[in-house]
Amino acid sequence: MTHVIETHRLTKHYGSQRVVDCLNLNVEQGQVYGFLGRNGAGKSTTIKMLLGMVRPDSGSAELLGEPVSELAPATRERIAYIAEGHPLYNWMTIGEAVRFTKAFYSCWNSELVEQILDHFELSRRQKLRRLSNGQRAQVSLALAVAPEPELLILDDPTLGLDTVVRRDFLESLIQIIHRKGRTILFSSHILGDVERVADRIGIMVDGVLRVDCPTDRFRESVKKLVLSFSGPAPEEVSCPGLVNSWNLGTELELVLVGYDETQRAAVEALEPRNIEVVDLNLEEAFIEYTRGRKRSLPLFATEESHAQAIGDQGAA
Amino acid sequence: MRFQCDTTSRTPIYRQLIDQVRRAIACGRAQPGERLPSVRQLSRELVVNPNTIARAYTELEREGTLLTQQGRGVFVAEPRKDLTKKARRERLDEKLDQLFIEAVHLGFSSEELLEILRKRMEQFAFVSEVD
Amino acid sequence: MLKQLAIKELRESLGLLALATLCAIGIIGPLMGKAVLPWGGSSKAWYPFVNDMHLSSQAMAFGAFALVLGLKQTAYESHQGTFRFLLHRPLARNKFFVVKMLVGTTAVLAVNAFMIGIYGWWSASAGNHASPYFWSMTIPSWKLSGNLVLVYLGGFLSGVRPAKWIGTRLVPAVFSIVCAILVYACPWWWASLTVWLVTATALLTAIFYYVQTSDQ
Repeated sequence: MTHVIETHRLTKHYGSQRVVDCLNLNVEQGQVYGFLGRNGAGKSTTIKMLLGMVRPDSGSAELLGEPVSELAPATRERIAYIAEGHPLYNWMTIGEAVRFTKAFYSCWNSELVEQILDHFELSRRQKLRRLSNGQRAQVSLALAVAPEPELLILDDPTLGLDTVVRRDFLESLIQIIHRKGRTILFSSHILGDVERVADRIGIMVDGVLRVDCPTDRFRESVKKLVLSFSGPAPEEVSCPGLVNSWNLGTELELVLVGYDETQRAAVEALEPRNIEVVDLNLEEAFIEYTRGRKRSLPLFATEESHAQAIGDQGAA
Repeated sequence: MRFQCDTTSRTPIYRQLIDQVRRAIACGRAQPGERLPSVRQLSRELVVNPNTIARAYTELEREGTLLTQQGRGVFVAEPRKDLTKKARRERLDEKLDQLFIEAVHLGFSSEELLEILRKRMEQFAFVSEVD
Repeated sequence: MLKQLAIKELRESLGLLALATLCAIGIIGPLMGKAVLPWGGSSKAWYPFVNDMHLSSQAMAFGAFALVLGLKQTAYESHQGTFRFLLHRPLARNKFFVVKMLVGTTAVLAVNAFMIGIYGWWSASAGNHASPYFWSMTIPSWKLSGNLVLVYLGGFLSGVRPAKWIGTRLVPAVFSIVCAILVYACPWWWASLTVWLVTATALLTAIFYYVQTSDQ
């Protein structure tokens, strides 16, 4: 299995902040890799460094076996990139954009471009500035896949697209996946889309790649535990793999990665009245994992005290 | 048969597909010998990575529910006769115990449960008494 | 691909080029005694190319054009985000900018040539004015166009070099203007030429340095 994307301790600072911190990312040929993380986690900067748009402060990256800093033009022909926002020359018409882009590549699938334009009812004479976001996205994708690239790197390609258009884009992506041997790295905020399409996900948190595993494995390993206590719940608990905890009066919610004997023992040692293990879907797992310490909203505090007051009345 | 996939569900997509195929067969909506959509077809329809579809189909094939014929497609297999009666009975007992535990916890009496069982079984295509 | 790139650069410069051409007409019109603007115009034609009156207009108008063009090809395109559409294409990074600079330099020279050409042709035609005229009198104008190329490169460098606008961003542009004036002021032709060459080399070296190292 060859690595199509490989980074070695890739690092970038902006000012005093480490936006990407010693990143070791590896994507194998044929994989569809979903690159996730909250805004500002470093996904876009990483992608830009992969394409040579931004220079790393230290570390290196390789695409298709060649260092990014010295990518030969012939290799660049095999790599497609769509930057955030689908940048295009707005003054061009679709036809001009096709003619312009085509001139850079020795291999160009004109039929494919025709098919895509026909399917979305786009005329070559339309000016790019007059297209909707969804139409721009499709033109952008058409221009990216026409050279039959082996590697596609897409930076948040469905940003700003409405639900229907997003589905169109995903369908196009599936078609691309069907052509064997293609590798796709894409970043996204729509976890549902990622679950559909990605074989493997990577989650960036504060510049560090904290998760890098098959999509299902991540989802299965993040578990939420709701511990009910007869008295007040403990404020803190220490437990391997603990990602987050939230004290709700008589209940303690824990988010754990991996749930095995050690953790079960640690949890049972707290002597709760009841332990409920909740499975999460990908979006919930992602949220719990990347949320950071929860601060209770003022709203919840009043609800709690109201509930407690009623509870006290009952007891009395 | 119609397939669906729900990304908000807590069940992984491949498992949803497996469950849907098994349910369809069990309810008689899919007959042995019936052809299922190819991995690519289904991937396109549901807008899901073909590897996920392949994973579901592979597991269904491993447990004997589906059969792949090279070059011809994926078909619903004949009901399996390879497991011994004992093995089949063991599997069933396990699932039944789960059902009974739940029913007791929910406060159903055994008569109520029998009635419910009888009614719901009509929805499913059980094999007729052979032997 | 270089052809397509050049065409694209040209099309993106057309707006400014048109504006500069209009300025050219606006300069030489009054000098030819023709009223270009309803309130302008002169009662008599000036003696062309004699007292270098037109040179200051040429320098200001086309200097501004050169500067703005240099900035538009770099800072403006960067701001629009289209470098992320362009620079990952299969072509050495330097070549993109070489094409830009060739197109830009040609545009600057062309607009100057247009003005000099029209004015010179008018001056050379009999009956337009009562003074001697030799084509060699246009030499100062041509020299000026050479200097304006330095201003263009200064603008280009300002656009390519990352720095704060309220700060040192425009320093290269100012530097190039100063050098251009220096070239003009040198009493000996070989000194002018040397300063011009040194400035151009310095600007180009800096441009390629920033092209290779700056982030998009």
